[in-house]
Amino acid sequence: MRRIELRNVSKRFGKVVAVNDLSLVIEPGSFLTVLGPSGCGKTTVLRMVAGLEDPDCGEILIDGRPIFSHQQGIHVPPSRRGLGLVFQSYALWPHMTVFENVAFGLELAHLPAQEISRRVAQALSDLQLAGMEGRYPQEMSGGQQQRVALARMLAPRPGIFLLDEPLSNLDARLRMDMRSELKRLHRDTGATVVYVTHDQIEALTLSTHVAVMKEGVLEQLAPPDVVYRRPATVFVADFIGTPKMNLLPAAVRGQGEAAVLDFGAFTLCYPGPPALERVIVGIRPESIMLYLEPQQGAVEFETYSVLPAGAELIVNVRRGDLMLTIRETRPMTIEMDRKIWLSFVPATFNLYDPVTSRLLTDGSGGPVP
Amino acid sequence: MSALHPHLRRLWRAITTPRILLSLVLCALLIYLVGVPLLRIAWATITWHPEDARVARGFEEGALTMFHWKRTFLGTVSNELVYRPFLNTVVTSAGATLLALLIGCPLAWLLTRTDLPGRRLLGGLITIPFILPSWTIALAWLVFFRNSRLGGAGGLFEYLTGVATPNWLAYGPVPIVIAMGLHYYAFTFILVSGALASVDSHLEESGEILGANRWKILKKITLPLVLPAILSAFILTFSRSLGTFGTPIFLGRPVGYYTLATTLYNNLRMGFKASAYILAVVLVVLSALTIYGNQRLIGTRKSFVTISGRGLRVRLTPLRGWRYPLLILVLAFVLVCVVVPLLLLVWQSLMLEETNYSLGNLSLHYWISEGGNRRYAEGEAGLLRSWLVLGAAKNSIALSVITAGLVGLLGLLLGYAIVKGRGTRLSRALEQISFLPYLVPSIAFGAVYIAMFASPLGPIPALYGTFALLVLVCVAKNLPFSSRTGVSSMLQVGQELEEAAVVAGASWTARFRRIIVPLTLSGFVAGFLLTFISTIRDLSLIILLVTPSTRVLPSLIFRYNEQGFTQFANGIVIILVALSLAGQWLIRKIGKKEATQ
Repeated sequence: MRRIELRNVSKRFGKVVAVNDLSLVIEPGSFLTVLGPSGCGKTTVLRMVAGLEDPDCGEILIDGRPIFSHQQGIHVPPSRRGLGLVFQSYALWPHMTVFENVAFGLELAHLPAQEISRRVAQALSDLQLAGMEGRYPQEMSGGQQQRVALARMLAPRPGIFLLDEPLSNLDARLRMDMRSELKRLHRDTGATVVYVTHDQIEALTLSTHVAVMKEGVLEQLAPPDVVYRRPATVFVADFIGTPKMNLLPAAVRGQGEAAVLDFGAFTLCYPGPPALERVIVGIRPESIMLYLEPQQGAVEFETYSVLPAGAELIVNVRRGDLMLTIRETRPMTIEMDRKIWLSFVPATFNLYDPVTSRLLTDGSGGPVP
Repeated sequence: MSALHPHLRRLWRAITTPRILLSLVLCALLIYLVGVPLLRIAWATITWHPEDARVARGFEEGALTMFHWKRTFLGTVSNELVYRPFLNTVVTSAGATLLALLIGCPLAWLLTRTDLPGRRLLGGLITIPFILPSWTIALAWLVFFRNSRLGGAGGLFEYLTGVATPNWLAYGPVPIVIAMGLHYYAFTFILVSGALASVDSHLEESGEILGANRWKILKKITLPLVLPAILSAFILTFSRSLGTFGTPIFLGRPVGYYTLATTLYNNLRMGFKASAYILAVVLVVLSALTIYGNQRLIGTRKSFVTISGRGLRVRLTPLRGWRYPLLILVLAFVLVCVVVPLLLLVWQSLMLEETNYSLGNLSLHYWISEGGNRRYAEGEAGLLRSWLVLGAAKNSIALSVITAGLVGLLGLLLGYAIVKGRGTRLSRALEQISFLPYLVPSIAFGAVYIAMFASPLGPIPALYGTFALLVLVCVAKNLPFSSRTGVSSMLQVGQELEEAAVVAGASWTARFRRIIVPLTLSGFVAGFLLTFISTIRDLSLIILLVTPSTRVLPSLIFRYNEQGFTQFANGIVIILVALSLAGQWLIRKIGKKEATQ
């Protein structure tokens, strides 16, 4: 169980700031997913922890011991950091067999030959690759290559797993299977995992913690359900969830119990709003109730498009200029261009300051973590 | 270490990073191999040397002077020394280049874009001149057209017709242009067919759908697309032929027709070092200007030649009734400029008496005699029994194998340093310095190395006369090529493949040995092969640097030709070609074996 800590770490490539003053603690045994759009610096974070890239300033510690420090001029080479890394491309050496690929690190550690074959066999059988020792990577399917890469990482038994978008080259079904395998692997080894992805489903399903990054800055670090329900910034709210969270600018009128959120096209009662004149209101598509008949307190809308997707139904509705997305999980058929009625649960709303883009935690009504 | 200041530690770490360390070492090596020699030759043209006592009085050795430049460009001998040779060089190079284009471009089109039968085989045959010494045709030309007007034996033409060949046909600019053109067309062919093969047929088909006919498509779409490549081929061929030594000396010397390269050689031989160095500088400047012009002219247009490799489709133009007539034409061409010259050389080497081309005169005397008969070649032993030939063959093989090995290794290291350091100043510096020898014509490069290594420089001893110097000059001249192949094969190896080994704990040497080298092996073999071929037949580069103890086959051919022992000279050409082919076959075989392991 290893603890990783980043202190005020920055890294720039030429003029581009890849990581900007990042501080982060990864608790022992946790599964941290670094999530963000491409170019947000998430892979750089991983590569700095691995030691493939040196930060321009700051410190990185493992179990309280600095493995990199700009101030002290410390750099512990990657192989002595006790970590394993799986690359997005897998980086399997094409001129080596599966056995040779997995054994490579063990050989370099000068393990006895017997121990090497034992460990390689173990790692391969753990990943259902037994019997494929003599194959070359290019003779295997993408899923199998992925497993070889994992086996290669596991064989030296590192305490930290670093995974750089490991599933992005697999097809959808295989990805599902591998997610469950990865979760199992984490559980069985108890390793501390840092997992980089741009796929929010992976982040939400796998991790104990999610770190969302944007342009080199950490936007939020929290357990996945918190990141989903209470995104800390407008960016996170916009980035997490499919379909996306509805983000509506609104004016705040009145005070206390009598307060009202004015969306322009309609208004809603909202007890105890913040002392701001304008806010951005985030509403998850699934927290809106949809009715086919007029209801008490429900607002009338018109359907714009209806997108059935098997288990769920995505409905885009409009009222004036205002567009909303709703996710409906009850089986029903809705025509396009018909009237429907929506009712809202203000307790599930997330209110954001339009200037700072931050979540307003005071009096927003919902449970704040 | 721990007591050191963090700044020093960071600096120490930066310098000892393998890539940086390697780049710094390579940079130093390149500066030593290329930068310093160029500066030294320039310096030698503006200082006094002891040999200058023959042309000047009262100077202080080593002092600065413009005397040499004035003498060369404004003196009484200027015309003979620089202006005429300059003109001759430009005329023959431009003529040869034009001829090469006229032959190479249509051949490239026929073999890449039409349904000519047997294109693959023909492609192999057509590029044979590429592996022959550039002056093979020149020697064969002499066998055929040599005349007795200047004394000596007449050629086959004279033997058959009884008419002495006119001088303009036997020697001088016309045969030089033809002989060089018939060699360099292979170079143009390779460049242009590469460009033609990369033109996506979709582009032509779009034109066809819009109603353009075949001729119009060729003129309006295909040709403009490959025009930059053709221009580039022109410039590259031109700059290559500028420094050619063999052909102009063999065909020009009998009638006193000299180019810059041959004048340079003569000056150096007569001990006019400064003039020779000035001619070398002139050649460098001429070649550099040409290549700079090329970059300026097509640097921006070049971009559209590189057409995406994905989904590339080439549709072949049907030749219809022209298929077989054109095939015969191409075959006849191969016959005339590859097969016939080699046969002529073989035939001539078997002729006991120099002027008698009849069957009865054929003998293996010049190949296997034990020597002693003063009537033939002053009693020298036959080629296959001659210690001279054996020694030269050994030297040739050693030189090309060692050079190819070093060039391949250096290419790998350069490729590594350049690719891994992409975007850094060090990487750019390496790339640029390693390109410099490209601007220096072969013969001038030899002169540069004489200037550099004739006397000791600091801790480096005078290498003139050593085998090491030959290796050094060949390695340095091949630098642009080696760094380019090194870079392209290193680009094939993904960054992550090496990083995975870093994480696994492999040291830099272990990574290089176990990951980089195995993965770039095929590139290494290809580079080795090309360097081997170009080194074993090279004359221009080494002619100024060989001494009797370091003699190689091409220089021996040159010597025998000078002495008039043409059977020996021509026989050695055949030996050289055989060695070169055998070497290639062997390297391919070993390379294939290594690659499959």
